[in-house]
Amino acid sequence: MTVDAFSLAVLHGSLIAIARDMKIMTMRTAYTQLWKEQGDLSCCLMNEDGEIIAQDPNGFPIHVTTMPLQLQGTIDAIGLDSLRPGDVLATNDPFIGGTHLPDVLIARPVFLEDELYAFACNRGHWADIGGMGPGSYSPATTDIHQEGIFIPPVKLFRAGHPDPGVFEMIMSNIRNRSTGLGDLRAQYASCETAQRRLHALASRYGLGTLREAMTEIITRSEWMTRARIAEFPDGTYRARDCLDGDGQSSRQTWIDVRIDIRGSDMVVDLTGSSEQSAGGMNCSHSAAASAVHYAIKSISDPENPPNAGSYRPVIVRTRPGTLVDARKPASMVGFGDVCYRVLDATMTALAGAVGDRAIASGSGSTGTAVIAGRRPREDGGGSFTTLELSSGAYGARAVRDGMNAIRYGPGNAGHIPIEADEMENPLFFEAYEIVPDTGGAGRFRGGNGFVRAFRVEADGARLCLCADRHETQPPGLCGGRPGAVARYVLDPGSERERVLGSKTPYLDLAPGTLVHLQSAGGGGYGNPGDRDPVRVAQDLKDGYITGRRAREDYGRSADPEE
Amino acid sequence: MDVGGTFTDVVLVNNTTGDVSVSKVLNRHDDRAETVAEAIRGLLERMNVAAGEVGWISHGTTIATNAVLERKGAKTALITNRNFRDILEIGRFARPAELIYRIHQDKPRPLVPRRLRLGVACRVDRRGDVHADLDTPDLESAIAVIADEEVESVAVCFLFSFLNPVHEEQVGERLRAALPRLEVVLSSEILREFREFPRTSTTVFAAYVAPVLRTYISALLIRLAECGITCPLYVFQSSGGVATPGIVMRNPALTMLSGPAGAVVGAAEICGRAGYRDLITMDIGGTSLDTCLVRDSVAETATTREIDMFPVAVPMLDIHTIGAGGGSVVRVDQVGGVRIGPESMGARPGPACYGLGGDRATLTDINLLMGLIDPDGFAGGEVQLDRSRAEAVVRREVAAPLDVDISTAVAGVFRVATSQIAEAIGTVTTERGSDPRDYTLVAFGGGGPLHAAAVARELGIGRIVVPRHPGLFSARGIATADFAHVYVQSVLRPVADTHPDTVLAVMETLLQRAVADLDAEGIPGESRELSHLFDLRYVGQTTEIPVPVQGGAELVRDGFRSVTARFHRLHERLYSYSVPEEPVELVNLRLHAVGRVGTLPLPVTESTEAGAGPVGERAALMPGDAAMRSVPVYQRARLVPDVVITGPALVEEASSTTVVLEGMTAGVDSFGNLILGPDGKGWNL
Repeated sequence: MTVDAFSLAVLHGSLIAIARDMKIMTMRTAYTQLWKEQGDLSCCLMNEDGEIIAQDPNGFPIHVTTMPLQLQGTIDAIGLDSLRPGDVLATNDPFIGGTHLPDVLIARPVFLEDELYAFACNRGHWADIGGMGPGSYSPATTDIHQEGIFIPPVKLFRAGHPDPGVFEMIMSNIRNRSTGLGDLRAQYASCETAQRRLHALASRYGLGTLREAMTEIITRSEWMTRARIAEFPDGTYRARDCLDGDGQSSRQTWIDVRIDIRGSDMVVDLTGSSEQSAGGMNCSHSAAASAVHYAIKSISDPENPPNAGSYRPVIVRTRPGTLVDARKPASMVGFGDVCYRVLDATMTALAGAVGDRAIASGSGSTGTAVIAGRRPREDGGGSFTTLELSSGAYGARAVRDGMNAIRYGPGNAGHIPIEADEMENPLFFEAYEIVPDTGGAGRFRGGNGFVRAFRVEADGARLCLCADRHETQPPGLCGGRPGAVARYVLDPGSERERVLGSKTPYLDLAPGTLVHLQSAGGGGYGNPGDRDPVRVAQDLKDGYITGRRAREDYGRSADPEE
Repeated sequence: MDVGGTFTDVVLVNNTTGDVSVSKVLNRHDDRAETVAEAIRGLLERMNVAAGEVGWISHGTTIATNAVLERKGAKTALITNRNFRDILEIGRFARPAELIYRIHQDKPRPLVPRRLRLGVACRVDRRGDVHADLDTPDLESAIAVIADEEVESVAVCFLFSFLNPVHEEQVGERLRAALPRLEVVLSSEILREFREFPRTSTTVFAAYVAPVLRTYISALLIRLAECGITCPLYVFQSSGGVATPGIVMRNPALTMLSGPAGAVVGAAEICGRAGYRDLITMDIGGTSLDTCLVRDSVAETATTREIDMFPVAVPMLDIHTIGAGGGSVVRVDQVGGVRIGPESMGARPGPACYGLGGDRATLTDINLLMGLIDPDGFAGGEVQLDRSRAEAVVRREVAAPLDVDISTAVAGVFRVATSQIAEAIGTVTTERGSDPRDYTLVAFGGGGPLHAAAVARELGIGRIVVPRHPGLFSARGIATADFAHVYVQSVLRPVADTHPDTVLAVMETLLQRAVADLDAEGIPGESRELSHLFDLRYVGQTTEIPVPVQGGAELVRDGFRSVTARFHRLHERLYSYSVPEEPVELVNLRLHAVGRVGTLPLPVTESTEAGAGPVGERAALMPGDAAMRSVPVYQRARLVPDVVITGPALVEEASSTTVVLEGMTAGVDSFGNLILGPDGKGWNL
């Protein structure tokens, strides 16, 4: 190595700052709620081989760690030699390593003069990508083409000039053209900024030094991760966990995890998982691997910035044709929920090796609900589509309760503020609150889920659900009880009450229908009998548990004064 | 006065001569107000000034912020709509970036525990119409809990109260009648902007610190009266302006980010007088670097920031902070990565060289080993620095793990620090569409003048100003701050659908509120500056850009055309593109009201003991150099105008050392500011 430790520190800091600012800039200029309020996009910088150098610290692991394979597939398809300065590439192809069609990768090859040395990448979840219904999120899709427009690896810009044909082809196939264009503009503008800043670094430090630093950053993270893995006892560790069904049938599908630890190498074998599903509950090898990598990064080296080196010591094996390595033309709509289950099973298996570092399963789903329709005329008319995320609670940890009502796992999209939601969409919220007793009991309690309940005040509105943990409970760990299942109900408590399954294809809503979306809770950790009575009393007083739960799970009287 | 966490600084400014005298006392824990009074009495006595001669007192304090960080505020309840009581806990629902992989770490707990988050049925809809009336039995049971639990302060925040505050007002009235000693803060009284989480969070912060601040200010007024001081007391706010205690107590969160603002205001004022109006401030203290952009003598502003992962939305200076101060810990991680901060050794035990038990390497230790700091002259000679301790620690913590010699290690760490500071400055300049080369770098705080030259060279900045008394800057800035208030009303309408009359009516309401406050503060008409701004964005976007509006007449004349044109230009500058054909939305109307207090004279430096030559030499490793060399050392107090120092050189004063690099020149202006000129070009005023 000739790059010195100090130049390396400077360059590493600058590269991460560039990736971070790409996302901030995209969120500030985006049009879709999904980005500007919920932040459902991620950015990273990769080297010329398509390996991650720097991740945006606010990026979602599931977005970022799937980008390398998708970018490498894109380069293979377009041809490395045909890349030119000023080109901008795009694709949403899940089968070369993506997620699902709404996640569109924009990549800007970065050159110093004629020499390619990096890619600035921005992957965002588009609010609509065409397909069977608005929001492009129906679990009833049985093949990828129902999901939306399939964008094979293409050049969106050639040497700085947009390709109008490609733009028009994409925009003609989505429902919200102006939002789509505004968002796409925000995405590639962020890549331009990254390109400019990388150029400044390359000119200043020299391309040779910058390249060496990029290699060194990866190498060092690999050492670090290997050092941690080597501390885990060698052995084979297994776990299984399941999904409610695939949108076509309610038959459970299984994720089977077998982890072999030998020294500083780890092989995570998912080949025993169920065959690929007929509905949309499938994911690519790359998406499954990103959930595994997230689990391992968070228990091995959570403190240091992640990059390609953090993932190298871990080999993920999948079998083509299973739900974690689906083949064409499988639908990938529900990839996020499949990945949550891969995370849960991986974490449970790892508990055997890493003990206290593992945590109990969280709420275990994206909890995606899409509501679409037309705004009433008095609100200006026009169509609307919104995505409500209804699942979030942490599993308990060895010395801490799980956090209530918060995202966990490899995704990190936030909520739309109620006021922004009601102003933009014809929804009227009746509840947004933590639900007591949903967290699993334990020495440490699983996080409670929450409810988001709203009336849909629109004609011709439709709803679809692509979620999970409606049939099976998020398991606890080390004697902790499982969390409560999710609940999706229309008009609860009325004569028209209708309980929905976690995979509900688009269904029509009568005007004024109350939609009640309630998250599963996180699993508990340790035996509930060992819980500190003071904590039980506090929970009771704060309404995190009810008197009934205090009695049944912890043997406490319902009277908090006692 | 600047009442900090550890020390209270009192600065007495003579408003005829501009002379400044200072008193710095250690805070006694039991009674902050008594500490302040003691410092004032001592200073007046020493300067032989009668209490009755004091014309006004401006008062900056971090009491509110510390109450939050130490969780020592009031027992606070939160009243929300029924079924929405957890907005404060759920927040944005997404995890903060630092928690994504740290699965064992929790978000900080909300300031209001769930048992004191009380839902009351009532609802206003998105049009501002009442959908459900306030439920009286609900409110009465909430009041019963508040009384039973001996709650001291209540925050009230309902959905859409920024459009229609009727329910908040009803609750406020009933609470104040039922429990007269309770502090009550209504969101509609402090923040009429949309998005319920930041609004709730800000209201909770305000309620949580209100009793603490009120108790303190009341005690202080009594103490001041006992000292014979009869002049008014003004409180310094995060916006960089002052207000009467009455106005601040309407929203005590206004003081929460005022800590670093005093120095920025002081820098803008003093540099402005010397002719430098476009500035980048660089304030390096013990634990952090604070940087802020000042355009045409006005510091850039921001509207929201997080404290302990909860947003506080108040008018504030746009100060960017990173953990790179003198006490910041320098270490090498397991794989040989060099890290600086954010962990800090603070003042105690402090850097290893203090000899107070600190056993980690810090930036101050690095600066000492480079020879940039005089071990015998630190803090005016009050602290004797121990070079051998610094060397032992830096060898163990940095040089040995990297297998390099000490001088390579210290030079390397300095380079990393320079880059981190430059990156932070990039955040407030290049990332917001400004070129740092168009600005003067103003360096202060103990560490600012040490790092400024290297940072300026890194960023291509051509001029550095190190003002006089860099350590007193904050208190002096507070002393000379103008009155400042911000009034906001959310509108949230496309500009094309908005009638100028609607906007004019809201502008008029804001204007009346401003006039009432300025009247109460006794600001004469000619000292008032009122500026209207529109927060605009493209329909569909989420982040607004504040755009100045000339006034009502402009709107009526051209129906928003020139203000939207200004918006497109600003968008282009900030985000590198604009879309003039896209519709634009008017999010908020904003009124900035300033009451100018008039400037204080600055004493002119006289040539006293003309000793322009160096007072000695010291072996130093100058930033960018490969080896130690002998560098001339100057005493700042002896420098007079028209004498030019050529780098490399070190210019020393009690609170800091200014590094002058080879190729740079330095000298003082007639106000005593030390000015460093551009590389190789000399400097002129």
